[in-house]
Amino acid sequence: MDSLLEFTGATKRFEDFAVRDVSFSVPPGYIVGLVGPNGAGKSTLMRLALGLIKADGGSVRVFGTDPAAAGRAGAEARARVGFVHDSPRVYDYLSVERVAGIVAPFYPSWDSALFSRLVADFGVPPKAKVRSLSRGTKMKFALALALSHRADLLLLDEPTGGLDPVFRDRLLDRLSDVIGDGRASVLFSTQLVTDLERIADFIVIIREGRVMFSGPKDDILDHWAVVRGGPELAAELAAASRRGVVTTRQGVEALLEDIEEARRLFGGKALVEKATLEDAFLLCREPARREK
Amino acid sequence: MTMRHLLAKDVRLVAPYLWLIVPVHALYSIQAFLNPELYFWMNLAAALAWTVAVTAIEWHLDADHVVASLPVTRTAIVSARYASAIGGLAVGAALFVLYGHVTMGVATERVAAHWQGSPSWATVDGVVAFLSIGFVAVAAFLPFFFRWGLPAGASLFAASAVVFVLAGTVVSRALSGTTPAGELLAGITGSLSWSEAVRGWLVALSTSWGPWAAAPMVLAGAAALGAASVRLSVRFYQARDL
Repeated sequence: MDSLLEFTGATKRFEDFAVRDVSFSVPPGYIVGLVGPNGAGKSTLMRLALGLIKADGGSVRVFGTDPAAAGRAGAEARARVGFVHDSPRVYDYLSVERVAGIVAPFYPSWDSALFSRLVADFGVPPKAKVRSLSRGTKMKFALALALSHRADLLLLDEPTGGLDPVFRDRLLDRLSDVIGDGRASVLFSTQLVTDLERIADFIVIIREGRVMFSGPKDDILDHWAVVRGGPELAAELAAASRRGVVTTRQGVEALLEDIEEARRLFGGKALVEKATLEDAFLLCREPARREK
Repeated sequence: MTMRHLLAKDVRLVAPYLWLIVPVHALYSIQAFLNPELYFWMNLAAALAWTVAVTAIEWHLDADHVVASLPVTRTAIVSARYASAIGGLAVGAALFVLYGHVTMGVATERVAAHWQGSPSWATVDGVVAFLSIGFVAVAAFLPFFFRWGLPAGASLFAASAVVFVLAGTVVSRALSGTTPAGELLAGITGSLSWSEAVRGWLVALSTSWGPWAAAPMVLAGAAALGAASVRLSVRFYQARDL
């Protein structure tokens, strides 16, 4: 089946920032983790996917449709999307149930019983004014809204921000349940690599508006290596690494895509270890070149 | 269908503040004893406050990008805001007539003397003047909002309105051949009584075309302006990044 969400060379320029030539896709039945530091362009990609901004170049397709298209097609695609924005302030002077009453009629597939169950499960008081909720509880409420119309694609912009570790754990379990039937998918942006280690199938690493890596998480965990050596190895590591070399006070760290080759080249003179997602997140510096 | 949901959203957003209608109109009624002209404008301001309130609430809460993330088109969002504004004006006009009648009904003879020589607003032409001026204000404001957002759009709208009023006054004075500085100043002051002017045009139209032809003509003119305004707003909003 085709991808639910597809970026193909998407570019969006602002006065002081741009995302450039972004290409990756979200296939059905998978969780894709979008990871990058603050200001890397994660929210811009989410806004592109929701049609809130238009790409200056390349294309963005949601269920095969341009979400920013002027006609009904974009709106119909959004009916199948659940979203959580990074700062869920919506109508905060109203109560939880009133805000739900505003949002629900827009979705033909809205399930009121599911919403009631979710807010109860998440510990969100339905009568409380949204502004009286903590940041974490507001996020839980936003998640309940996003999950209650049984969306085929969830776009979650830093949904674990402000959540306590216990609830974060439960949320990650629930997201795994959502994709359980192989139909729905999740694009999940975060700065917390540990979230992705648990649930993501694919990883997209973005830095300064460019995709540094996009591919299966296991490619990194099974094959990649981090090599740590003295400064004398800088030139050699730079030549060997296609992903990124960082010089620290202690020496040089480099990401290599093949741990066997890394051991062969640097086994005797540097520390070679399996790379973690955190290593990939911290060290990946070169834009992706080989991903499909 | 979507339009209905968007309109229901506006009603729900403003619902917590609807109780303000009673005390605000009570204040207007008191004001009406003193100055009938001000009664017109204050009622119109209250009717337009509906649109301003919904727009300001959504802007203040960054809700426009949440609304645009829902399964709605930008055309529907824009059209619903105009429909909502017309609804606000219609309710405002009804209250304007109702409170006007109530006020005059309970007014003592001495207080009612203030209104002598002033128009009785609770007439067809009074209501049409109310609706047409209100709708022109909405049709002029919303394209600014949908193009530049609230702070910048409102400022540009206010500046444009001042320039428009001044320019209109200068041009009309120039055309009438009376352009001395004193008369110009009087004209500017006089332009604040546009409700009277609109009502005057309506009376003139009524005289020429009959009382039941004038109101539809003016409302049709306002509708044509509104249609052009909607098209402009849709173009602006579709092009805007949220």
